[in-house]
Amino acid sequence: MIKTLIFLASAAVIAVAGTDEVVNGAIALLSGTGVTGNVTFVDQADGKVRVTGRIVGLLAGEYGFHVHQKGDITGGCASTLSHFNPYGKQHGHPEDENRHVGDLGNIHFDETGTANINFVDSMIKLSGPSSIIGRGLVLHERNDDYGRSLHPDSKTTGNAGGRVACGVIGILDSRNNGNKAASAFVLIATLAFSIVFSFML
Amino acid sequence: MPKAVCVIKGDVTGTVFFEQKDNKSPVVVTGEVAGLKKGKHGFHVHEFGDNTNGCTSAGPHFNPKGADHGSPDAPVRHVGDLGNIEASQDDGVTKVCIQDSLISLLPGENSIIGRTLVVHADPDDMGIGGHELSKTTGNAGARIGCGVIGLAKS
Repeated sequence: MIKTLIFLASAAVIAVAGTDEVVNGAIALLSGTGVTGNVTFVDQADGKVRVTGRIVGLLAGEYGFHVHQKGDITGGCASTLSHFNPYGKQHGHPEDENRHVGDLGNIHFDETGTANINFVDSMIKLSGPSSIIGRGLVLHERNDDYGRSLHPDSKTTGNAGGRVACGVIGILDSRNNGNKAASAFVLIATLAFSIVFSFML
Repeated sequence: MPKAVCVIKGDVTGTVFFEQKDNKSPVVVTGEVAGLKKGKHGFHVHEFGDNTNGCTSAGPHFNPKGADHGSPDAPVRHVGDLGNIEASQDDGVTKVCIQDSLISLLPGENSIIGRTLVVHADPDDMGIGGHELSKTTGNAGARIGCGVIGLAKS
């Protein structure tokens, strides 16, 4: 009887953990003329978000990379509107305090026309007022000057020019990222422990 | 007023708009889907806003409460169960006009922002078709078009 109770209790713990609805990952499929890629956003234990991915199709160089306000691509990338800026700041470098939440700076394309992305950002979030879920991810035609040039657009867009690719940032299956792997390990450990423990009784 | 939008791509294409006055009001779903075969087609919000491997990566129906699949007006249903849309002819333009009180555009358990809207090849049997898939998918068949639901200008 006790064995059964312990087994049922651990099964219940596993069932509850299995339906955990906390969003801790996001993904965007970018597409534009000749440009495609995937970008993944995953919450880290330190509260920052790791951004990884691969985009192909541009000449070697630096290109502005921003989260825009809306996840609306009905009129192409223009419908995503301006940079995501919930606190009314100026455009800036990702390390600046005075920056839009959506200011992710530049990404680098190599000679093969590929950008391999892997960086951590402290401002974007996957929930709350700085959440990027359902917003637009946009790749620009030029480099972002981080708000530091004299160009009239520098303080709003980084003068990064037109929009060459974009996508809507959606919720990622948490089994596809590291956090879930960690919690799956805990679940398996709990299950193993409870089975061993129930046989000992 | 919170608004959202979804651009559907695949074998069928379209644009679907979502509007909700406040968190006590239903979500009004309007829009058009082009290229459907005549008849009913399952129309659901799926759990993930991931279309990197086509519509498959959107995962199962959005079902935060772990309920059985059902019709939109049934007491037991997935949050994402929006029923069917019906094409009156082959390869025409099908109007979408749905009002739903369970999905939400505001933050919370039932929010569909960042999830995927999927159009299926076959009719959704609303969970009562007696097929082995009725209680999970409504036996609505393949995913012929989908898109991530994004925030739109209010």
